[in-house]
Amino acid sequence: MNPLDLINRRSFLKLLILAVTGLYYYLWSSVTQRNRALTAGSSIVKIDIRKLANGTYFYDDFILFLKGENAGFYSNKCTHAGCVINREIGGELVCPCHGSKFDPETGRVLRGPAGSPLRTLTHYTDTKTGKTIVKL
Amino acid sequence: MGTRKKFRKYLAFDTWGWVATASLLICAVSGVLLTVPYDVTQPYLSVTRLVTANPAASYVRNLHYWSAQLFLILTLVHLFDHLLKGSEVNIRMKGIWFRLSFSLIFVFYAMISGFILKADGDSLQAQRILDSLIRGIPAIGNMLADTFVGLPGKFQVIYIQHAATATIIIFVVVLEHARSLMVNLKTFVITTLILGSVSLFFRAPVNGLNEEIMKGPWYFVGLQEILHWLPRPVYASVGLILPVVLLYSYYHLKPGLKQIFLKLFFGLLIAYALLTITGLFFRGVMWQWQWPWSDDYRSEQLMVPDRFPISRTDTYEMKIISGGVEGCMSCHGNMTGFSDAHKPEFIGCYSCHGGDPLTLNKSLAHREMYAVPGNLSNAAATCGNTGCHPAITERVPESLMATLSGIISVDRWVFGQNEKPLGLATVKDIGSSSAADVHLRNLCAGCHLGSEKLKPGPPEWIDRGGGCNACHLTYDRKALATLNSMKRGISGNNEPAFHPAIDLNITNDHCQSCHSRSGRISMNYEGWHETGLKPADAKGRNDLKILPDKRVFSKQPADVHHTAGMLCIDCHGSYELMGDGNRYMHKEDAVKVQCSDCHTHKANKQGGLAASDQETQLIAWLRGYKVEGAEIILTQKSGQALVNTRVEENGRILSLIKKSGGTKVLMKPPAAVCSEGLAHNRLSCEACHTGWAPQCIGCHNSFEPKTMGFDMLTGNTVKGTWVEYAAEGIADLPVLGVIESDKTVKGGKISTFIPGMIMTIDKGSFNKNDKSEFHRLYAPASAHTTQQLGRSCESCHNNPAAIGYGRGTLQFSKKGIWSFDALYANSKYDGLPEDAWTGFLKERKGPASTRVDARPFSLAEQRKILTVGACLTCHKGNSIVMKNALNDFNETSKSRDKDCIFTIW
Ligand code: FES
Repeated sequence: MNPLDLINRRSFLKLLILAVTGLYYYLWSSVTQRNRALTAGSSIVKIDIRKLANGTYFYDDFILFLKGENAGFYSNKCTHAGCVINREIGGELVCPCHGSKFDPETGRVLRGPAGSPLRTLTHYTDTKTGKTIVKL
Repeated sequence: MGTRKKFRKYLAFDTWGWVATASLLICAVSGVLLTVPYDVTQPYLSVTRLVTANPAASYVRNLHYWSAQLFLILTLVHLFDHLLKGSEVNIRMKGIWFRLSFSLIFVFYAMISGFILKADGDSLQAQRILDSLIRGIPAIGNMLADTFVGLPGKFQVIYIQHAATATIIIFVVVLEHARSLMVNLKTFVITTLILGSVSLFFRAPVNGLNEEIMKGPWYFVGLQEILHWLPRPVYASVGLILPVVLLYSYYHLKPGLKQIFLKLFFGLLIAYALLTITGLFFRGVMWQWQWPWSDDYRSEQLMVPDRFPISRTDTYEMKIISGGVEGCMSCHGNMTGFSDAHKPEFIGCYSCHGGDPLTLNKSLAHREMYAVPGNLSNAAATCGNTGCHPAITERVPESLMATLSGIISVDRWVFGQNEKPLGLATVKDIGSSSAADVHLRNLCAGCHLGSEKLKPGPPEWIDRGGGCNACHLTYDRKALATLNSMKRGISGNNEPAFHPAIDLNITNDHCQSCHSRSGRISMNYEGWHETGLKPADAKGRNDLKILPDKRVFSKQPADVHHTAGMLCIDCHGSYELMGDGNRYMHKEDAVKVQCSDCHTHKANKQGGLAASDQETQLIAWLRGYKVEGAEIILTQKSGQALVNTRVEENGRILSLIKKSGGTKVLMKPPAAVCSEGLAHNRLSCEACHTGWAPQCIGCHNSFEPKTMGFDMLTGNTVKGTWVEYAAEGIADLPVLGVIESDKTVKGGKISTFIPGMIMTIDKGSFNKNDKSEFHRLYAPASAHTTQQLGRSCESCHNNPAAIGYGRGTLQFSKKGIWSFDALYANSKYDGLPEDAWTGFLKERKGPASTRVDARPFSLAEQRKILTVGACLTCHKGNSIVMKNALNDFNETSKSRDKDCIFTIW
C-alpha cells in the first residue's frame, strides 16, 4: 500500500512543518546549549586579604566583607534581576536598579524586591602564598 | 478656513502611520552610518569618542536616537488610532494582524538593544536585567537570552540582532502592512526637518560607567518601577507578552467586548504613565525617594550637543579615562600638582568637576561644572562618587562641623525659642523669621562645612567653607600663582597648569579659617590672642599678626603641642572631624580624644592597626605607615583608632608619629603631682594645664533695621541686621566650674570655662512686643593652650576669677574671714560684677551655663576651695604641709600650728 494514502496531503504538510520546526528548535537549542557550555568556564580570582582592613570591598565580580577573622565573599549580582551591586549606604548593600538591600555581613536580604540572599562564593586560602582564592 | 483649522490641517500633514514609517527610514539610514564609528569590541569608548570628537557622527547618533523614539511613539499612537476608529478590521488577513501584534516585541527589542549598545553604566545594568527577564521564561528562556542578549558586557550578539534581525523583521512587517515604504516626499521632508532640528538641540543620552542612578530608557522606567514590587521578575516577562497577546486576540473579539478591552488598555496605559512619572522624577540616587526639584542627577545636564557643523577638532588628542573618552583632558591633560590618587590620568576632570566631558567646545564643556567640587551641596556627586568616597560624603553632613547643632540650639535657647540649650537642629533648619534664626544668619551661621565656597582659592576666614575642600585642598606656591593669574585673567591661551593638591596635608591654617572665631582655638593653639588693634598698629611688629580679614592678634604662650610641632590633626582624627555618622549636640560630645588617651602610664585601650577599619588603614597607607604589627591607641570614649600613635612594651611606651614631618616622639605620662592624693581627682587635665583662654566680658546684641548686613546662609546682603557690640577680649586663665554629666568621677568633673554669653539681647529691636534679655552664661571651653607646668595652687584657691567671682581682690582676714572686692562694677541686671559667674560665697540659681549639665561651684565647693586658700596665704603650694594636705586635709589640719588661722564660715 502506498504510504501516502494513509495521510492526506494537508496533514502531511503539517507534519512536515512540524518536523522542520522541530529540527530548527533542536538546532537552536543545541547551538545555544553547547555554546553556553563552551564559553562558561569557571574562573578564579586570587587576592591577598591579609592586608585589608575591616569593611566592605567591591570588586569587578564580587563583594568582600571583612570583619576580624571572618571574610565573606558574595557574588555582586543582585538576586532579583541581576544588576551589579556596587555601593553600600549606611551599612547596607543597595542595588541601584530596584532598591533591594542586603546585609553585607551575611548576604541576607534586608529589603525586597530580591527574595534570596546574595550567592556566597566558595573560597579557600592557598597555603603556599597565603592568598585567598575565590571561585566565581 | 479659520486659522486654527488651517494650523491643525498643516500639522496633520499625514497619518501617524506614515510619519512613523518616515522616522523608521531615517532611523535605518542613520543606523547604517553609525556602523562606521561604532566599535562593538570597545562600545563605550567608541560612543564617547564619537560624541566628543566626531560632531557629524554625534549628530547622526542623535538622529538615530530621536527617530527611533518618534517611531516608537507614533507606532503606538497609530495602533491606538486603529483601535479607536475600529479600523483594525480593514486589515484583512489574520496573519498580518498576528505579525503586526508580535512585531511590537521586536520594536521594543530594537529600542532596548539600542539603549544597551551605548554601553554606559545604565546599559550594562539594563543588559543584565533583560537577560534575567528573558532567561526566566520557561523552556525557551535560556535559548532566547543567549540569542538575543548574549554574555553580559559583550555586545556582538545584541549588535547583530539589533542591526539585522530586529530591523529586518520590523521592515518586513511594516512593508506588509503599509504595502509600500514610499513615504510621501512632503512627509519625509517635514519629519526629517523636525528630527533634524531636535537632534541639533538635544543629544542622545550617554552617561558614565559608574553613575549613582540607574535609570532605564523612558519607556521602561515604568517597568523598572513595577520590577521594584515584583520579587520574581519572570512575572514581568509574562506581563510584557500579555498586552501583545491581548492585542492579537482583540481582532477576534465581538464589538461589545472590544469596548471593554479598549477601556482596559487605556486604564493600563494611564497606570503605566503614572509609574513612569514616579520612576523618572521621584527616584533618586540608589533608588531613594526624592522630590523632582531636589534632583541633582547631573547626567541630565548633558543633553546639549555640539552644534552641527562644528569647529575643527582634529588637533586635539583624545584621552581615555575609565573606559571612555573625556574631552576635558584634551585641554587640561597636562595639569599637575595632584596627589597620586587624584591624578587626572586616573580619574580625569569630570568625576570631580562635572561639566560636560563629551565635548571639545569650551563653553559647553564648562556648563554646569562645579568650580568647587567639595561643596557639600554637590559632594555626593563629586567626592562621593561610587568608587571614591561615598561613605564619607554620607557622614560629613551629619558631623557637628556641618550641622552646627550646638550653636543653633544655644542661640535659640538664649532667644527664648527653645526651652533648653539642647536639640539636633542643623543649619538646614535655620528659618528666616524668628529673632534667633535671623541672628544666626547674620552673625553665626557662616562657619560650617556646608557653607558654599563660590570662588576657588584657599580657605580663609573671608572666604571659608567649601565642604571637603575646606580641609583637603592644599595650595602650594605654584598653585597659588596659577590661581592669582587666573583671577587677574592673564591665563591667556594657556590652560592653567597647576592644580592645588587634594590630600591629607591638612594644616592648622585650614582649621583656622573657621576656628579663629568664637573660642578661637586655632589661634590660641598657636599662641595668638585677638586684640582690638588696627592693622596699621601692627606695622613692623613681630609680636602682632594680621589675619586676611584684618584682625590683629598679639603673642601669647602657645600650646605645648604646637611648640612640639604637632598639628591639629595629630590629635583630631577622621572620625571626629568628618563625623562618625552620629549627630551630636555639642563639641564635647563629638570629640572623642582626650588627654589621658595618650598621657598615661599604660595604654588604656589599644589595638592592632591591621585590625582597624578601612578608612584608618587607607590613611595609614597614604601616610606611609607600616601597618603589620603596629599597635595603636584607641580612644577610651569610643574606641576610635588614633592612627599616628604607637604602643610598645606592653602598652607602657606610647609614642606619636607627627603628621607633619613624620618624626616619632614619646608621649609623656602625667607628672606625679597630677595623681597625688585624692583632693584633685575631680580635676580635668585642662583645669590645671590651660595656660590662658580668650575671654570677652559684656556684649550687646541688637537688631538694626536700617543697617546693611549679611545673610551668611544665602550669601546675600540684607537690609536690617543683628549687630553685636563686644568689649575687647582678655587673655587670662580660665574660670573653673563643674561638668556634672561627666560621671567618671563622683560629683562631676571640674573643668575650664569662659564667659560664653554675658550679654544683653535687645529683642524689642526685632519684635516690638519682646523685652530685652540679659544672660550670664559661661561655656565649657577647651582653650587649646596647654602648658607643661600646671597652674599654681594659688591661681585657683586664692583667685576670685578662677572660682567664678570675677576679677578683684580676695582677702583673708586675721579673723578667718574671706572678703572679696570686685574689680568690675555690679551689673544693673543681676547685681553681680560684670565678669562674675557666681556671687561671692553664693549659690547660683537658674541656668548658668550654655550646657544643661554645667554649673559654677556650689557654696560647699567654694568653701572647700577657700579653706585650702586660707592655708595657701601662708604655706607655699609646694610645701610639705600642703602636699600632705593633698592626701588627707583633715588629718594634716589636726597637727596645725597654733598660729594657723582657719576660715570661719
Ligand atoms: S536587580 Fe537588584 S533590585 Fe532588581
